Amino acid sequence: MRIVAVTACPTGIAHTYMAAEKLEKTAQALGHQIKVETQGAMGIENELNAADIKAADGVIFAVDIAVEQRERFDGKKVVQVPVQDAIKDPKGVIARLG
Amino acid sequence: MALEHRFLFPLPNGLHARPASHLEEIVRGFTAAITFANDRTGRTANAKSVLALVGTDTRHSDPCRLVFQGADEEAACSRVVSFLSGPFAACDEPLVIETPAASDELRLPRSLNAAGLQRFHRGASACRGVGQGRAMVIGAFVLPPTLRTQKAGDSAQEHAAVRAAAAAVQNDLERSLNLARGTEAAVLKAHLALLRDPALAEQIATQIGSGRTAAQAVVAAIETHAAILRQAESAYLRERVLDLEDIGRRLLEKLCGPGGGPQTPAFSGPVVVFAETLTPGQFLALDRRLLRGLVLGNAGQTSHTVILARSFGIPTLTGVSPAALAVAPGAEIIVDANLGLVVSEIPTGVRCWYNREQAKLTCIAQKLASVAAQPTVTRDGRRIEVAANISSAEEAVTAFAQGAEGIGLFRTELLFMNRSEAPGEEEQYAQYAAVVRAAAGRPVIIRTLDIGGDKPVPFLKFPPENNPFLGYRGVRFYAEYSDLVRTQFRALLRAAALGPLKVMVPMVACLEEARTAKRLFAEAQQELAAAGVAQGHEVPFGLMIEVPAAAFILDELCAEVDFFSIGTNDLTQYFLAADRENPKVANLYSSLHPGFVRLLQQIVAGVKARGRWIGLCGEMAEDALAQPLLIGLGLDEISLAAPRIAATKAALAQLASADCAALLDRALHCTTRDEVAQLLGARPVSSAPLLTPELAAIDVDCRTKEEAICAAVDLLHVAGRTTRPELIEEEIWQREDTYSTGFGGGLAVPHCKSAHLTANTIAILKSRQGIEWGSVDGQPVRVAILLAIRADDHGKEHLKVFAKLSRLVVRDEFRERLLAETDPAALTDFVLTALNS
Repeated sequence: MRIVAVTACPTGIAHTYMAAEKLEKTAQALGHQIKVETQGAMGIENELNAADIKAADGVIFAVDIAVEQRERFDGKKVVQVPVQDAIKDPKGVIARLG
Repeated sequence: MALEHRFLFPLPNGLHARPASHLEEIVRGFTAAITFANDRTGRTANAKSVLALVGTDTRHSDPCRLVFQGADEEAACSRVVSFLSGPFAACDEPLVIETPAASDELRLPRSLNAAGLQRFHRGASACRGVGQGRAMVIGAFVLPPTLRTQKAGDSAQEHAAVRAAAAAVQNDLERSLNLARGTEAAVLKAHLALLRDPALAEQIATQIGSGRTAAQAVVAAIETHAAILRQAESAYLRERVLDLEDIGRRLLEKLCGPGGGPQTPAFSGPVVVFAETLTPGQFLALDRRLLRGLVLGNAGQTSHTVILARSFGIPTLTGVSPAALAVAPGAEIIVDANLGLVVSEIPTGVRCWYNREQAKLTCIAQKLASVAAQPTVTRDGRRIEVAANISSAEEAVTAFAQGAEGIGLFRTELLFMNRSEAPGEEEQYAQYAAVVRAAAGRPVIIRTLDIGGDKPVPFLKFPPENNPFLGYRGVRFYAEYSDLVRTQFRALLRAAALGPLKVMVPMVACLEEARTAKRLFAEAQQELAAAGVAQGHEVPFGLMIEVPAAAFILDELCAEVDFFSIGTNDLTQYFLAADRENPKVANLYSSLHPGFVRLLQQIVAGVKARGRWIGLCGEMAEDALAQPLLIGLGLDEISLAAPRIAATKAALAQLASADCAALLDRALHCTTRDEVAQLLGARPVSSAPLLTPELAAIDVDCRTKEEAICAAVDLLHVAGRTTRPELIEEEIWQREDTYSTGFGGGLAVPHCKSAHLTANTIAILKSRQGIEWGSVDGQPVRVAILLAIRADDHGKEHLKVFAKLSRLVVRDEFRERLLAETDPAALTDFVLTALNS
């Protein structure tokens, strides 16, 4: 499966990146391809472009705050969870993509 | 025929006791009648009465007049006018006013709340610190009823009794004055002036004339003048009532005998004193070795008592409620003059919290003291000498105790002022020798007489000048007064035989002046040699750089002299042609003007290119904002007021000279003063390393999350990463309250973005026992990693590091290593290596 994700926690210093790390490592271990965009104190990194999103089979938002430029994902089905869930149970979150 | 001088009152705090007593000292010797009039309040005063002067309630910028009438009115007028336009401004210490806690709502640190603090009283902090001791309540002095109603004897007897009492008090004050230094001495001098005040004596005499006993007369007279002071508009003047009451109490003790006044309580252990008010004399009588805190009801931030407490570092609260003062004598008390509260019912948890807090504060004080004791070295190993500016030999000892690595400027003017003849060679030698001895081998720079028409002395007949600052001053008068100058040189040369001493000459604008001074110096050397008197060998001879012209003949000057010191105060004034005292143009006066920065760079580069030593003495040395520039310039030394030295050394040790050089370069290309200020204010924080072994604590005994976060913030505080730990603690909890930073596996990443950090920081806390953290997996936390970033840091460098660290902590191998490592150095090494890979 091709997965794209966005992570965004309240202060954008730690949990944003912890979640990104967990999702990446877990997805790869399960044999998926994944690209995670972080929206943190440094701004948007590893930005998902139109091609990434179009090609994606599943979209995960692990966010506690609103996603920036959310319109990019219009028309895609999104699994949205709090950042903590992605850190605590990344496997379960990925499983929700079906 | 009378003379009148009109002026706007120049002192920011108005005409209060201290400047009034200085003015009285100046006019005392003249026979002419001298009247001070304030045209705003309409009050007039005999200028020879400190009380009367203070009673005019004169404020800054009030239109005032001085009228001189009598045989020596001209001399008096000229003396006073010169005094007012010059040294008068220096009479007033800048008041260090701790701004009292503005917020009505006191936000206690979460950890203190959690420790069980419930009952406490609040107060304004007048001197920071924390103290513990047993309560002692000191009441105000009241005339015992029997004395209040006593009938007066023969009025001549009562007058005699008062005179005897006044003489005895004067004796006591003068004896104390001999032993006192600094602030204490200034307060005692002001009290002596009050004691001798003709207005007070008149009032006491009048009261005796109305049939009162000496004691009643004193009480009435003091009260009359106190009433005037209490009407004053300025809080500062109202607080002078305590000084008056102090004199009153001393007189009453003499008149009523030892049983008539309150005994000075003896302390048998650590004590916290509670009082509605406390006179300076009462404060000074307390045993300072055992006084751990002061809790006052009604004492403003500027009362002499508070100023004294501050100078001795006694944690002090003011403005506490009457309820707070109704404390049981002997009760155990904690005074927290950092948070602004006093606790008399101390739960166990609170006791522990304060024991921890005091241990931490002691540790910080020791660190500061040990930094103060070290030579100053920047982070990347660049040495710079941090020296002290002093005006008297007595200050030298304190200066070295406060970490001065040398004396960068001993201003000798005070030796010459307020006297009718110049000090002789022996008297001067004694002073200079005292400083050299106190220095014990450290460098000492003594500046020769720097006096002009604004600070006149009777033995230098300066012609009246319209513009003394551009007039006959400093080296300019040395040729005419060569005997005087050679005497000073001889005294200096003789003192130089006892240890390192450098001689420095002020106000040099041209080569001729440098040569004149050198010639006089050489003559003094020859005189001593011919008389077989011991003198220093190869005593360095240098110049102040304060006249801009000197900056453009550096080549020539370097050929003549051995060293230089930049006097930034005068150099800035002359360079920008702006008087810092003139409110209309004071904003032009700035050492951060890009032109001035370029001037400094040119001067230092020019002097260093010719291999000479160059220092800087001037307020710019105390400006924390400007200090990186001073490092970047490559100065050998900066010299500043002694109390600022320890903090300055600590701050400079945090800087990297390479960064400072780069910063200077950018400052040189700024176009306005504001640009320079912004550049300096926003400097990158990468100088201090994110993580050092000092910021890792292993095996910390914490039981709760509150204690752990408090302990982590303590690490920042001790490492100098913040001066407001309670605010950082709050900011961490704001994030923690959103949801727990315990992400499982026994780890947590508390973090914050804060305006109260001096540098971005990582701290690691390993707890002895697991801590309930509300973690996502319900497991207790054993390792907490605190991430703290400055709110104004717009760069990404450290955020990237934090992001990387965040990714590392969710990896099993990293986590296991964190849990296993027990050595702080090894732990920080491991983390830093992982971050850099």
